[in-house]
Amino acid sequence: MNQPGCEEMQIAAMAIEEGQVPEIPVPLVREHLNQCPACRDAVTAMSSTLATLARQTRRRHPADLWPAIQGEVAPRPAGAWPYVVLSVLLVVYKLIELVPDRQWSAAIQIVPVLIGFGLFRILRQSPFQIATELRLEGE
Amino acid sequence: MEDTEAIRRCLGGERDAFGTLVLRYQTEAVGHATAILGNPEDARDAVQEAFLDAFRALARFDLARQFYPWFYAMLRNHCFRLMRVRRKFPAVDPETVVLADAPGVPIEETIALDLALRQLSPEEREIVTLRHLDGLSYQELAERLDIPPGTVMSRLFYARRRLRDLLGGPKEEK
Repeated sequence: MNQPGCEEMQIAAMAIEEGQVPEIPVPLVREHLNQCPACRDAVTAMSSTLATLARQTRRRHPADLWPAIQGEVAPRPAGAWPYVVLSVLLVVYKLIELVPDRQWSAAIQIVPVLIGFGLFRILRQSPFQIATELRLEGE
Repeated sequence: MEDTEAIRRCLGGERDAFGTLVLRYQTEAVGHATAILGNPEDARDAVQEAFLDAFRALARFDLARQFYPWFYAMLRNHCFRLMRVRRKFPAVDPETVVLADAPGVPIEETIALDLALRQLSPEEREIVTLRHLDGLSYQELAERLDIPPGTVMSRLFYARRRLRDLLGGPKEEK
């Protein structure tokens, strides 16, 4: 391993000062500091900067982000597109039914079932369910 | 409500439980984002985006971990992305301050240090403030910034040396 330079020694010295164990052996760092006034002065100056920082606190910037975030994370209604898709499917189905001499009538019988299944999946409830809950006007 | 409980409820469909996390961490997060970005308005935008990212990724969150360090990774991604945009359109905010008035500390000292902090690069400002204002250990810094402990030592050293130079300390020959 090459002999560490002054900068490596200063990095190690600052780490030691903060209770860390650097890669360079601690006695080697101490010996270097004893023999190198430039490094000693640099470490002393940096320690003084750290002491200045230690007296400071982070400024608190008030924030009220929840209303905006709540709007973004709220579940969105499915909208009109599922009904548009299903309407198109039904129209296509009816048009296909009008084609004369169809040979695939058995297969096409399944289309209304698939549409019904799609409705259940999209709405996550029976689309034919009748709301029986009593609601007072203005409630 | 504990973080893990809030996350569980949120995953169970109770989306308002996420508000517990937002209310708990938003001020801290804006402080951290301000330290990177240099102004609280951009910081609030970054924090809001990061919370939305966290909400979308919540299903992948490991409940054995702490929420904030996980969230912080998303936050700093947003901050640095915003920094790249701002380099093209620099926002000048002379009112921005990272530090608060501290009792017993001369205001001149706080202002000088704040100005010096704002002249550091975002990466330098981030590591110095996390270490000295939040008191994160070297290990915590390594985890939070996703860098090896040896890199924490050197990055902290260069950031602090630059800060010392900006504060008018003795400059050594290089």
